[in-house]
Amino acid sequence: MSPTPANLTDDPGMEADPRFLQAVQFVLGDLSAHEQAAFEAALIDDLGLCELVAQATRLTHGVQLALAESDTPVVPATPTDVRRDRWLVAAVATLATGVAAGFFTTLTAPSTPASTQAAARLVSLWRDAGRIHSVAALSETTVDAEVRDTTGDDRVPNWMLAAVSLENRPSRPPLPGNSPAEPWEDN
Amino acid sequence: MMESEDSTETESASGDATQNCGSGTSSAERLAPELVRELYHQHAAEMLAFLQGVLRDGDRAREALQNTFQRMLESGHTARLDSIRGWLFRVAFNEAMALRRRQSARDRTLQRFVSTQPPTEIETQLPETEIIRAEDVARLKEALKQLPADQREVVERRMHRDETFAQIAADLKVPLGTVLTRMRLALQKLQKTLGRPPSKD
Repeated sequence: MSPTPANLTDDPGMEADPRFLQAVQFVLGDLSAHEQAAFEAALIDDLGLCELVAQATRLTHGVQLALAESDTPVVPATPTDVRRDRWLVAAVATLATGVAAGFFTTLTAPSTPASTQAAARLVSLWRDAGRIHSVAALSETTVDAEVRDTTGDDRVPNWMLAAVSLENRPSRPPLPGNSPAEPWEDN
Repeated sequence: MMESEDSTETESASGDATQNCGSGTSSAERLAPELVRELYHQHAAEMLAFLQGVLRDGDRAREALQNTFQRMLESGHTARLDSIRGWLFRVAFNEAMALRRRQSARDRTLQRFVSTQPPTEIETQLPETEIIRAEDVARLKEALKQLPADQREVVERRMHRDETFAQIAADLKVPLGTVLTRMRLALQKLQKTLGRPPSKD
């Protein structure tokens, strides 16, 4: 009958063969070349030592199996996984930094003079809404602001002056021979 | 007479086993295959464990085991039955040493070629042998749980993680002797759990 683990104690009287540890070391390859040669020389004539080696091998094999079975499998990360994870972390960190920096810049950056001027003008127009009788005035203001916003140039472009002049042109055609020079015509 | 040098070594290694042998080696005096098979069932697991411990290679251990019982078939009648166990250990050890010498002499390609040769009669007749039973492994697993933590740690790190005793001692910041003592105490307990080698008796 095989002993059960419950029977195992630290009883010093239960002394096993003192050579068993050496047999285990022989099986595990822990002995030096000199020690191994001496051990193998003893194996030739020592039946008890041969039995110890067999027992040490079975025990070593069994313990390795038992420990492998009771182990929770842990899959170590491969170098490729590690590299991929590092790239992923770096990419996410860069993206987050960029978003945060953009948000911070938007909050703290001063407005440009052009946009501030246009906004102030719009506010002024809204405030004086009662005095604005012409939608064209608002449109002109808005267009003006938009143009200044995009170009940074306060000068009104020629194409816009031409368009406004066309709107103000009289519907009746001028009399022949008595036509003043049109303001947009180059003399 | 024995044909090869290895066989001669086997004969001399058997020592007093020749006392009862007859002078002839005819097939009529050889052990009956049924008796060899019975002896195989009784001793093969322990022999395989012994050979694996000596050679530290499962494949070569099995090859040495087959050679050992081939020798038994050829010259086992020269041994006394009451000392057949000792005779087997000696023959097995000599076979292991012969294999090791051949291994160092041949290159690996030639060794693979040899291992693909058709099996001999004894190889086809003898069953597979395991050196430890599943129930022994289960008992060892329970016994490992019963070990004190410091002893279990040494066993686990040496046998499972393949750390050297010196590494373990350095890592735990204890003397090497302390580590070896913990290992020895653990082995004493585990050894009692192991039971007899697998056999049919």
